[in-house]
Formats: sequence, C-alpha cells, structure tokens
Amino acid sequence: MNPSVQVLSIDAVAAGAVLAEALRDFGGAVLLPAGAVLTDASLKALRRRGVTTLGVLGVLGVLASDPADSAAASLAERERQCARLARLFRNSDTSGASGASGASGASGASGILLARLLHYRRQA
Amino acid sequence: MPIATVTPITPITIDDVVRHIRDLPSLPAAVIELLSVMDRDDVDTHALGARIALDQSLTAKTLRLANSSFYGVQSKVTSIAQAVSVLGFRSIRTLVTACAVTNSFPASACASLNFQAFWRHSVATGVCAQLLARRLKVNPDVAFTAGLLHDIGALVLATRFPSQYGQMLAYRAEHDCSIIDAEQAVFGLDHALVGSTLSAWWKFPQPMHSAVASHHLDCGAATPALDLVVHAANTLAHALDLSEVEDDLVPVLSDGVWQTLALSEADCMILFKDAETTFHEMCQVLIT
Repeated sequence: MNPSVQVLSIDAVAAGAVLAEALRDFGGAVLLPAGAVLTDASLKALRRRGVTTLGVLGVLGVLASDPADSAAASLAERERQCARLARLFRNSDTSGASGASGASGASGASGILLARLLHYRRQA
Repeated sequence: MPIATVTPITPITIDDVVRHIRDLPSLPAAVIELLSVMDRDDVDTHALGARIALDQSLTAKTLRLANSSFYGVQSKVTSIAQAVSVLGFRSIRTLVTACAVTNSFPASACASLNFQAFWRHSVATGVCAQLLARRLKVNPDVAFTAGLLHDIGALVLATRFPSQYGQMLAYRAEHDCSIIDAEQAVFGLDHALVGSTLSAWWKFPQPMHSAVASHHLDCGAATPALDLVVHAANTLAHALDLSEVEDDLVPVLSDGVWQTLALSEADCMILFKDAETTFHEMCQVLIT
C-alpha cells in the first residue's frame, strides 16, 4: 500500500480509494471525513457539487487489490530479490546452490549460504 | 590473488601509511580504557555515565538508543543514569567506542568514498558478528566492536590518500572485482593490512587487532574464534544486502568458518531475520 497522498482528477479516482484529508465545502463544512472510502455514489455526488480533484491515499494499493494482480506483484518482487542475490554472489563459485539441498558443489560454503538466502527470500 | 603480482598502479608503502596514521588524532583515553576492558564486567558504571554526560552528541545517541523500540521501554528515558539501567553497561560501552572511532574520520575528507554505505556495512557486520558470537563462545560486545571496526583501514586509505582511493574505486568498477583485489592492483597493499597497522597504533586489544587483520583471509583450524566470527559476519552483511550498494559483491565464504559455525537451515532463517531487524534498529541510533 502506497501511503503517500496523491492529488488526482476526480475522473481518475475509482470507487474504493481512500480520502487523504477531509473534503470541505467553501463554508468549511465537512462533506466527507479523512479516511472515507469513496463509492460510486459518493463520487457522483461530489461531481454534482463541482469537485474536480481529490487527495487520496494508497491509490496504487487500491488499484492492485485484485488478488491476481497482487499475486503477480509479489511474484515479481521475489524474482527481483532472487536476481539481486545472483548479482551479489556473482563472484562466488556457488554451484552448490543449484541443487535442492544446496549441500554439494566445490566451493560449498558460499553456495549453501546463497541457497539458504534464496529460501529465506522466498518464504518472506 | 594473481592480480597482486602485477606492479601496483600508484603504489603506497606501509611506511607511507604509518606516517599518515601518526597524524590521526589519538583515541580519547577513556575509549582506549574501555576497549582494553571490553570483556570484563567489573567496571565503574558511574564513571562511564559521567564521561558520556560530558559529550553532547554521545548523550543524544545514548538516549536515542535507550528510547528505541528495540528495548521496548514504555516510559521515556531522559537521563544517562536511566539509560545505563535500561541498556546495561555493556551496550553503552560499545556505543561509546563506536562513536569515538566514527568521529575520528570526518566524511568531508574523501569525496569518492560513500561514507553512508561504509558505515551501513560496518554496523551490519557488527550486528552479524554479535549474533554469531555466542555460537563460538565469543563475547558479543567484543564481536560487535570488532565487526564495526573491521574495515577501518579503508577509512585511512580513503581519507589520507583520497585521489589514489578514487583511482582504486574506478579500477574496481571497471574490472568488477573485489575491493581487496582492486587495492592490491592499485596500491600494492589492502585495507586489512592498513587496518591492522592502525589498530596496533591505537592499541586495540590483540584479538580485535587480529580480527581486523585477517577478515579476508581463508580460515583454518587454528584461526582464533573472533577472526572466524568477523569473517562470517562480513560475508553475511554483504549477502543480506544491508549496505544497499548496487554493485556490491559478496566475498567468498570460507568453508572452514562455515563448518565451525554449523548453522542449520532453521538457524539461518532466524539469524537472517534477527540480523535485518537489529541492523535497522542500530542504524537509526548510530547513523544519523
């Protein structure tokens, strides 16, 4: 979830987005409190009142809330971490890491360490 | 190390190093005293507290450490005396030493060294060494301090020979080799040797001196336990990517060290997690 505030055109905001700060009319009266979850109905009402932009929280998180998308995102993150480990260990003979146990290979210690770290990153 | 046999590009002799080390400020007497009694517990805590209170930045760091969520104290710690009771004498002693050494090397002295990354790696190695220490019956505070200071020779090279240091970093980037190989190729000596020279000059206790000197060497059966701990901690700190340097390189882990540590898969999972958590805590206190 991206915690930063994003100011977006009301047309770019989808139902499910969270208001970052209270939305007030010109008189200062609160239309919607901070933290309110926007719905299709409330967005329509806000448009009718002439609201054109909204400060919302965690837009990226909301848009990615589809379970298939977040699974893809975490898979991509794990792949990134595995690629990062391979880069960090590029100087070591880590032939031991490719086996399931990670216990074989000429230069065993670095290979086993890499295998354990891969396991650690995958389960995190 | 085949590169080392080639004539160095801009050689630095150990005599040059010694001359520059003599120009470094000497460590405060209190710190040398603390280092020498690191593995003893019968030291006057009131005297230590009084010394800390005289130093503003040290006082601030001590209070920040005591108030960090790591120690989970509910009420706010506002005095050194309170901090000593929360942290214990040993943690404070470690902190005092760390701060004194850090303050000897101003970041402004070498533009090419990434000081932030350097200290992140140093703290990471200290944390890993502390976590590994008990397995080899090493005092955890001694291990933390030795880990924190293991690359101290790099600071001498970076701050006393700044232009050559820049050349060495360029060589390293071009060849994508280890720092040790690049130092050998450019200077004809490496930061482990320089660090051991400095630690002798600063009268570090012998085990710490040995750990600084040998952290890149392959370890055998006769290697002292603290050397094994610092070697493994250095590798682990790189492997956990704690210094966040894009072209970082994990040094080869000695098979002998790995066998001596005898870490099971489950041990490793706990170790990795603890290292990451403790590291982030310590960074907030030591690096700001």
